[in-house]
Amino acid sequence: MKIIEVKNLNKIYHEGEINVHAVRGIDLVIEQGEFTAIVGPSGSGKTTLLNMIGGLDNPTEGEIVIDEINIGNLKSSQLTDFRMKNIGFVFQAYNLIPVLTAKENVEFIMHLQGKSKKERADRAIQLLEEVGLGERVNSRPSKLSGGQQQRVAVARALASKPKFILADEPTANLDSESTANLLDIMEKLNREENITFIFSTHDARVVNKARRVITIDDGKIMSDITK
Amino acid sequence: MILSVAWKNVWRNKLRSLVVIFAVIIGLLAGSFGVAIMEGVTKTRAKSQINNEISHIQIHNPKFSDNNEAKYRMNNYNEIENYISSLNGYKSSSSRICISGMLNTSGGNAATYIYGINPEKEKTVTEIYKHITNTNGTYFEGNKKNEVLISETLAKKLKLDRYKVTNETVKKLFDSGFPESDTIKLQPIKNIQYRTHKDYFNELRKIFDTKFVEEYEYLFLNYAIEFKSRASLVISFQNKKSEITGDKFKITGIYKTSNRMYDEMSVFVNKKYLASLIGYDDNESHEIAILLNNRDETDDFAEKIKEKFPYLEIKTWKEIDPMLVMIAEYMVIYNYFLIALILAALSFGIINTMLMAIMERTKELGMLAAIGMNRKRIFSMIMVETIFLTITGAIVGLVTNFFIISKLSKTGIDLTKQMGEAFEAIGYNSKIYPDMGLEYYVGITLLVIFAAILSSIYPAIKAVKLNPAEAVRTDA
Repeated sequence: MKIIEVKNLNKIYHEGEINVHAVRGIDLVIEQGEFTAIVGPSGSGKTTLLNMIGGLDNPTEGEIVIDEINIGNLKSSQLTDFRMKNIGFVFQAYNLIPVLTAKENVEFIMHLQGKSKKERADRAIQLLEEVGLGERVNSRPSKLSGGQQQRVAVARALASKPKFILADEPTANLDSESTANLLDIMEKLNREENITFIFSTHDARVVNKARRVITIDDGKIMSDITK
Repeated sequence: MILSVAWKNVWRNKLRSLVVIFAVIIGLLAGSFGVAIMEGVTKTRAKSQINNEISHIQIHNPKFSDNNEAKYRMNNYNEIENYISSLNGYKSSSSRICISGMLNTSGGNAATYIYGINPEKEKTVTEIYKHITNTNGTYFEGNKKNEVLISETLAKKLKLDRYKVTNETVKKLFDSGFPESDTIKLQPIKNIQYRTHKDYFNELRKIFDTKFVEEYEYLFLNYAIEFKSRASLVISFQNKKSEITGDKFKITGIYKTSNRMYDEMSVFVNKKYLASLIGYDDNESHEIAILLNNRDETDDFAEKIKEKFPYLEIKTWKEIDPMLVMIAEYMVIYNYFLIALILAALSFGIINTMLMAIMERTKELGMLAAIGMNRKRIFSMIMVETIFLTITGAIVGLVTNFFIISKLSKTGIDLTKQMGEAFEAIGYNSKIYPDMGLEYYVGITLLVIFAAILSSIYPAIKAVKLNPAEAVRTDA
């Protein structure tokens, strides 16, 4: 089932008098349950593409249709609401709230969704157990390793029951062991719960795990290989 | 949960938050203490004015107030008293004869106002009897018809003042901060009575240097002053037939209130005797002063008297001394202006702190926007954080102020040494009892919240304007 359809996507940044064409006419379809890596050198446009799919940035031209909704037609407030309900984000630098515990970080988005306290607590604990942090639910980010923090970020991304998860270079700050651990967890979630993951990455270990690899350079898709 | 996050965010950078909180504590402590001082001064003045001078309600012949002529009097005090004493809220009343006259002694003379009072009735309305200052002075207790009560101010004007340094003088000086080593220097003039202020100060200048004498002038004067005991004076005035009459009176008491202007113009004699000199009968008077159990009931009480005696002029304390009300109202405006000014200054610090907090949390705020926290919620979170930061300082400041005022409202702050003369000259008590009502605590808290909301607007706008895509990738 098709959940994301990108049509003729273009993005031009204006840096002073220079126009930077970050994304050039990309067409792309992502199906439910994919485990896809978008790869390419720095400045190739992969993060820009991911930001536009995630509704964090607006395309200069083209359409992004998610679950039959053209997100370009949504107002800013509707888009924020849409992100909350449909898209999970995992960032390179984890971006957890330092004053909250692991459990509270996972609960936060459910609070925004208006979920009850019990429902929030139950799901947060369940998700943290799924990512192997059942023993660290009450730890603050500063007491967790980088790998553990990123696993909390994955649990947070899953908390809102999104249609897909966008992970922007999720392993860039992790060591080999943590990377392997994190990828195993995400692969398991993808396999067992049919959760769609889209990564932007440089990391060969991520590319090896991905079942579909889209290579971008100079804002264009150079190859799209499904293993 | 957002409230909990906001509260936790306040304590992320403890030192920075504590600096702002401490600034708010100091600012509000200073501001609210200033308010308490001003309120204390104003309330003490109002209380003293009502208790010593004007009471809650005064009744006159309408023409008396316009012309102050003795012929415009009332002759039905008994009827009025019977009626007002039957009304709810009545505490006491006293009728007075009020005429202008001249006081003469061998040392001087003074034009003043002479109040003929029933001493026992007057005691229930005004507190002049509590302000007798001269040693062996009494409040109409000699049972002589020609006793007179005059103020210290008038006694000085009539040159009835004498100056003598006694052991008590030395003790009072020492208690007021006079250096102990200097008290020994007063030994040569101890127990010597000086007839004039000038002679006394000439002696003091021989002992101490002029600057020192000037510094302690008010204390030297007030702790050594005594009045010629049982002195006589002649009071002259017009009788009922507009003829000049008068008699010799014996000064049995010398009083002093905090209002020098009032003291200078008020002399008290026995009403019955004064009436006999003027030619009035016992039931005639110019003024009836009424004291109520509760000041707030004054207007209603006055209305009832007006209905019953429409031909009389009934004035409440607010009408008798509109300045009293005006000053009280002005003080409220001034006090809130003072607090607003302090908060405005503090706001810059608060805005700066919140901007720094937002700058440091750019990435996190970007993440919150990305995962679906809408602008309204981000705005509210920053606003609540600012309110928490400010209100924490405000609560500590106001509670500290409450305890300080609770203590000082009992002991008072005595500024007699520093500003006694100046305070008395404008009719204020130099001992201040700070006081701040509940309405101020509520008002100041609301002002603090308002200032916090205003201070949060700019940082909150900055926060909601962050582009999530850029914010999550910043190095902050």
